[in-house]
Amino acid sequence: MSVPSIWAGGMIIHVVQQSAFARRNTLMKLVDANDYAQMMTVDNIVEGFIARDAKLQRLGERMGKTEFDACRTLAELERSLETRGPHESPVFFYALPQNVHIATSALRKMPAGERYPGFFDKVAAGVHEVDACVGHFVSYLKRAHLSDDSVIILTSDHGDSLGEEGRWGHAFYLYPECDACAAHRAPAVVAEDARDDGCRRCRVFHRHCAHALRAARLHSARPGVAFRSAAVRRSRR
Amino acid sequence: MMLARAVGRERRFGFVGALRCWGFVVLLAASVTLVEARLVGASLAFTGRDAWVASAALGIAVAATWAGVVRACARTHAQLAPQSSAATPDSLAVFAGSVAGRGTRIAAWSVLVVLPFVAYWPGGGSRAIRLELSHAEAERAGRVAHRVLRCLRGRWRSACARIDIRRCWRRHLSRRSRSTAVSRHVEPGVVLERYAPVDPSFRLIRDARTMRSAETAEHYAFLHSQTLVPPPRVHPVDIDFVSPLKPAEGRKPHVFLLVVDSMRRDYVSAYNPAVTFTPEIGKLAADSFVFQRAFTRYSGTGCRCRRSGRAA
Repeated sequence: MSVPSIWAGGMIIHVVQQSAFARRNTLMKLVDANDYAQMMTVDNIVEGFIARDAKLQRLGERMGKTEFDACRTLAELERSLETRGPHESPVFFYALPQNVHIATSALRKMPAGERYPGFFDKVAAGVHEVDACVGHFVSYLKRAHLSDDSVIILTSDHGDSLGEEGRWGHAFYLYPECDACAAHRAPAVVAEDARDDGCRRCRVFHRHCAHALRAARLHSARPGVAFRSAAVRRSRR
Repeated sequence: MMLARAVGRERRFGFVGALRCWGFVVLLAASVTLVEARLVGASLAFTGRDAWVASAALGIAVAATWAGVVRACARTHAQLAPQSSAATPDSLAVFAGSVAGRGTRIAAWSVLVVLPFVAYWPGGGSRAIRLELSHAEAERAGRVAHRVLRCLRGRWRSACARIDIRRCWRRHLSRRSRSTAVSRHVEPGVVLERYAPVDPSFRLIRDARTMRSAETAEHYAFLHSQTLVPPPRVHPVDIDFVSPLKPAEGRKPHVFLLVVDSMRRDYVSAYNPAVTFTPEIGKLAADSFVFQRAFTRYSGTGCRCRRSGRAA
């Protein structure tokens, strides 16, 4: 359910497959309004609320949701970017790679001697894998002179309980939670060239994606309900 | 004991037959152990010595049960056809016949081939289980199953005559693709059954839906009675979260949004200095905005929260 909330830019009702989501789909409105070419992995969550038109290029088309791999997807993205001309419309890329998901991590074969002390080895190995692919992709953007015209948002939907306080689980038992609310903290790294005052300690409820795009001057209209919430407060680090 | 009684003392197969029968039982136990440990246990992150011991116990139990069925079948066979009792029955054929109704040795050995094949799906053990097969893999599996059955059909014609596995599989695939293309709404029961073996929380949700025991029924009935949300399905409010947007002026950057499923913040060096395995993300973060107080709006996966009272 955190995935639709990322697209909506706000809390949505408690179902994953959102019916008639178009009006709440803030991110897609941003993308459409600015005429972005879409390159996305389409899983069972987003397939219900994206338009299958000429602007959409599916990545990993023959894969199931659990097969989406950050490295393969980013490599496919690189190949697609290389074929684009300099005057074509900008690209919006979205992917939900499963490298770290417990169903993938639990079956990962760990190379002999590879250990991550203090961490759950197989999950840490998945994160390490993603890290290498992200690094490779960032290098590509620099080589292709695209990095100055790019916003990279690296985030997550939630985290698993990996034995903390005796709890294991993916959906209900999450870690780390915050103390006084049902939400839990998620990583959010946003790279863009417009690093001015640096809103690094904004309290954001997974609307940081829309917030980041607004910071990148993509969102020119007056902020709507999702952006006006008092939950977003800017302060310097 | 059951195993010994079922197989070791079984004299109808003769010495060689009993030996072969023993070998089959041992292989069956090993196969089930392998599948249980590699497929079920590993997917629940239940590994190590305990997992193998538990899997071995299950494997022996399954083999013993099957051997018991074989013994009963062999006895029935002797009673029904006493005139042919002089001929030593084929132990492997009887083994397969216990389940299929009509046995062949190739069917018996196929069991032993298929079980480890399931555990070690091509591509390595790490690909042994998926929450869902891709379309291409499903087609490939259907083709393999069809070839196997075609091979068996010559000897097993009467049993297979009514089954056209390829047609069944195609029908399943077309139904699946039709349901995803048209309804776009995944049936909750199907999703739960798919995730429940690999995720304890989904088992919890499934229990809430099916109320399989008096304890869970009472618990969830209480939660249900306490929730403020009425039982009928809650439909999202159809509103615009933002006003109609106009295109931005000036240059438009490429946007790359990577949502890494289930990645915890304390496994990323930008948030936890103890992390040494994300140097590239660390470099990216050093040159980026890093949101220190980012919260997900709702972190659960796929639940109907009103069922368990969480919406209250």
